[in-house]
Amino acid sequence: MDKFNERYLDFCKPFIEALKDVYSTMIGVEVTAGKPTIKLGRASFGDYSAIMGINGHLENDPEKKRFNGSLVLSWPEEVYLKTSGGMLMEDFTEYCDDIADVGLEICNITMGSAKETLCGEGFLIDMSIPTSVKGKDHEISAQDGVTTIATPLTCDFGTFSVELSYQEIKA
Amino acid sequence: MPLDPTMKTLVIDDMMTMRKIIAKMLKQFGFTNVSQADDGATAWPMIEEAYKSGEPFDFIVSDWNMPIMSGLDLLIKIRATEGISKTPFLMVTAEAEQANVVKVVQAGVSNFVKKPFKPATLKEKIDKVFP
Repeated sequence: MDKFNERYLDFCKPFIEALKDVYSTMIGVEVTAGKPTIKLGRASFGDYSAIMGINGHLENDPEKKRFNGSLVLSWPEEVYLKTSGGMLMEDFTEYCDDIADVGLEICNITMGSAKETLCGEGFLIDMSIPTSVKGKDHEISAQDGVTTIATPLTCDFGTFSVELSYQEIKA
Repeated sequence: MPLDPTMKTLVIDDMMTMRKIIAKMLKQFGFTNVSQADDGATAWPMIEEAYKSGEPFDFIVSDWNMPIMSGLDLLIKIRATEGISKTPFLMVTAEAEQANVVKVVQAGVSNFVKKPFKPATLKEKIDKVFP
């Protein structure tokens, strides 16, 4: 495995661990990660996706490389409704404004926790504000042209996806 | 100042989800007078107005990462304003790297809580603000 791919895997792990922690701490639900695969195409995994841009630099790299990419969390509707219910301690049977930013908050917390871990490994990330896309069969253009690793995550609510794009840019 | 559940409290977060979660937790702890704002920029006039009306906020719980005015900028503004500079301020943050902790401590934060958190953790942090 070359240095770039090693770094890519190092980069992905803290996001998975952070998501597990969010579900366990805020909802009381355990999440299991499935096998990561390289994502092909723009199609979303679910009906609601939260997206957060990633920008930063490698602290210990002699070339002071920068990196960018994106974090995408994508939930099928049923999983999103149950996740929202768990977060807000209410029952939701259909999508409504009350749960419009549940996915954004999960994305935000995940990024914050992963950022902290990655900082200790030399990946220094600038925090940004997440956005969301909703609807059947929506596409994620943020992943265009960048290798994206998708990992399925399963819990009592069903399966959702975490997708990470990462590329290095020479200074 | 001891913890008084009737104290006038302001919860600030750009995400409705986190505002609702914190407000519900505060209600569980017995808080009865909780207002909400969706950014530091919308909170500031509420804080100023409350002070001018003679009923200032007694406790502020604010997110850090917000799009218009961050929780850190709001904290700095409050600490620099006569009359409200000593308002107890609990920062809620998804980022708890050492450098960030130093920033909020230097700005005069009363305490901070890292997301994600359980109700017991939030209560513990609040108890340390009001020993």
